[in-house]
Amino acid sequence: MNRKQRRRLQEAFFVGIMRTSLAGACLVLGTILAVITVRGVGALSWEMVSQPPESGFYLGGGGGILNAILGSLALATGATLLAMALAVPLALFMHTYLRSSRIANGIRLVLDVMWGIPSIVYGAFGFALMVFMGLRASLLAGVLTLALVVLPILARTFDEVLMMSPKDLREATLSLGATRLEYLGVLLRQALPGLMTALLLAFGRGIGDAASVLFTAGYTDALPQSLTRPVASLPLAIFYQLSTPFPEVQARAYASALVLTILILVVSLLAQLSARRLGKHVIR
Amino acid sequence: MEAEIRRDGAVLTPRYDAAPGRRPGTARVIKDHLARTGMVVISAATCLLVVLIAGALLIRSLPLLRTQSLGELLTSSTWQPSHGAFGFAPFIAGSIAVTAVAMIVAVAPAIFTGIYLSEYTVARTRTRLKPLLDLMVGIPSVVYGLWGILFVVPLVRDHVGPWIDGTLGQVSPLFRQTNPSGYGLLSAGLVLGIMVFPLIVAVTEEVLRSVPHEMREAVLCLGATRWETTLCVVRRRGMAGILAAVVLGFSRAFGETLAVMMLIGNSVQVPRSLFDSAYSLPALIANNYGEMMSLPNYESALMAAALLLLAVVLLFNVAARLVVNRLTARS
Amino acid sequence: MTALSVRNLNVWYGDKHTLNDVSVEIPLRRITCIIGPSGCGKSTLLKALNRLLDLNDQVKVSGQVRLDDINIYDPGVDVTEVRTRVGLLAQKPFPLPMSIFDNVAYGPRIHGRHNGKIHALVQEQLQAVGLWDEVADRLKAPATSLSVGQQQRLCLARTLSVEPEIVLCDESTASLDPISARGIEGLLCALKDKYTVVLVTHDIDQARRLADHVIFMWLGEVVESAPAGQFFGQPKEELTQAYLAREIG
Repeated sequence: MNRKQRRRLQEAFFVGIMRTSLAGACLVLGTILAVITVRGVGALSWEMVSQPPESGFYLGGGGGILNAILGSLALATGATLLAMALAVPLALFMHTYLRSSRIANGIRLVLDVMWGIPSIVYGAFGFALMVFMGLRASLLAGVLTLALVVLPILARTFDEVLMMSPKDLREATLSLGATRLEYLGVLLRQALPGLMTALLLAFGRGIGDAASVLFTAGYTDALPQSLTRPVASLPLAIFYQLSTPFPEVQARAYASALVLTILILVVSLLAQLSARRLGKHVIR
Repeated sequence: MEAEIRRDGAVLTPRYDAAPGRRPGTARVIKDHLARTGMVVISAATCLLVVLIAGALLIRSLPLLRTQSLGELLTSSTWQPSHGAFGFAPFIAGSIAVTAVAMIVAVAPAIFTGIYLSEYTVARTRTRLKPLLDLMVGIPSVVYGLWGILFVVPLVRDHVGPWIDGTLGQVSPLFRQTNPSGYGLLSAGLVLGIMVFPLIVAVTEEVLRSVPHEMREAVLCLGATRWETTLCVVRRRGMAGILAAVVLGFSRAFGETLAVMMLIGNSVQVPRSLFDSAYSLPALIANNYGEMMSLPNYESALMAAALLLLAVVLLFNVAARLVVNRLTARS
Repeated sequence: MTALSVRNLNVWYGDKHTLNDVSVEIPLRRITCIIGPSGCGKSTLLKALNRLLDLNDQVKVSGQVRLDDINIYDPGVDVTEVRTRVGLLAQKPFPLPMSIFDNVAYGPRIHGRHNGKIHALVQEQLQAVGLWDEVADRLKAPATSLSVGQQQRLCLARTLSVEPEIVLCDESTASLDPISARGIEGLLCALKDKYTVVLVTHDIDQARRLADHVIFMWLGEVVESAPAGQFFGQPKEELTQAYLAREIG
């Protein structure tokens, strides 16, 4: 075998490995979705998604997981909005007053590191704070803790969106005599569709996160009513139903997982769409 | 005059007909400064959060640290909360072992996929594949855990386990199927590997794509194949970045809670075989929060576990991020 | 004698028709200069000559580029072979992130062409570009430690190390200081005994100094392609006359 053939073979070999890896990943993803769908669809019913649990639900009694669905939505919505109140000014700040200075990169580093902190650590921190302030597990505590989890995700994603804004926009706006704050307004309008994507991404992450709300939001069979009461969440509903020894309750856990997966799919699909459909004032 | 300008403050154009002697737009400038101050406060608060978290966990774990030395906690393998014995060794060993399995499973395919996305695919294919990877990141860990129970555990128990036991089991006790349940290091590690796969792919791709285009052109114009070009790109610029990607994956896997907790078997022992059930640090915290107020120092021990977790993750993350940032900023 | 012949070449960047039905011949062992205003497609034409356009997935190519009776755009063609025969000297010097020695040795090594005499080969190439005396004592130093002018000569040595037949130069002197630029020009002149050189430039004076043959492009089309004497002496096209008189472009 001459050298040229050997090089060509080497190329083909590594391309093969790479394609196999990628195909394997897609296959695994497919298997996950397929297994969850096939096992979940059996126990899925209208009652499941429209009723809160009745008494004896975890022994196989009637009712559904509406408490967990609404609880998760409340937790994720609250956390996303709260995180947005911090993340959006933070990201805009980096691009108007601080653009690409060392401080901005320092903030980016901190956010990236915060993104890497496991949500169980946020959960433990939230719990420590609750004990310190004499609070009990509640929707409010859950929202606060979950907001910490999604804050870096939201801030960094929005930051990346802002980074893609045209470089000339800044010069063009500032040279009209606008203050930086007014430039910020222009920039925000440019980045609005991207913000939507970032929000949806954070929202999706918030729905799926369990470890942070485990201690802080508690769990209840009642529908969410007040900020100071405990609240159920979908991941924990799945986990608790799975922990029972009854097959029919476990089957409902599969169905709940399907509900959760569909929710996540819808949210990430919406995120994709909003990323593609840009606003009418956006310069491409 | 002041009030008038403030009332129409929403109009961004300065009023050129403002009264003489008064600089137009003073209100705008003041607003600008206020906004700036507000944002400085927010940024500082966010950055201080990490310190706050570490501080709070440290304070809560102090009661335990006063009674037992750190070295003792980390190396003792006796975990009997009711006797006040809090040895973290089994949990640390379990976390490291399960993460190691995950990395063995995930690293090579993830790096190859990252290389493929960065060096071999055109932009259109990339935009089609990206949502799939994003979806893999987005699937909640409880769903991964459930999939592990329904799919991976039976697979390991009935097929992979007996096969490995039959072939490699004679060679080393590491591969002996000691545990017939299927719940253990291998099942948890496999699922965990899949969970961190997209992260390693994304960082690898990001780092490689920051290598300037001209370098690839230069190498290709010497008649190099794509793979030779890739090697050149990776060997000289991307190595540190890929290492950082692996470290990031490791620290993500190290802190993963629910999926591991559902699959690892949760028995307090230092695992000796790939099939042994074990216990991870995050699972320790998550599983015991219910009873942690009932025993002295129990809560403190769990907070110390969280602090330990935070320390490991912070260390790895900061190091890896610094490498990635330096590599991607230079271009 | 023709080194490369381009036939009905069309290139699109997305929807933009960058090269419109280009047909030209590149003479063998001569310096051919491609001139024209910026955005006229001269760099695109150059990069089409060794399929470097393949790297951009937005690009669509139709037509032929014939090198020794093979069309390099034929599906069965080995692209690495084409790029070995048609080398490129980029606009900015881009030394590979390795030592000076390895920069020149890399190409022969991947092709397995050194027969254990890699040192002699590197020395020969570095001498050919007049860099040997300057770097002989620090061959292991990183290539980036050289001055920009030296780096460009190193890149030329690297390009020549795989013994191409044709060397494409994409404004290769544009980012250099005048003295280094003259150095590269001198080297290119010396190359034409052995190599065919295709040089893209926006500098008419440089074309006057170097060219044996000139191709003038305007808005993606070839306006005039002629030997240098005729091109600068009696240009046929009005557009060429106007461009040479610096009335347009």
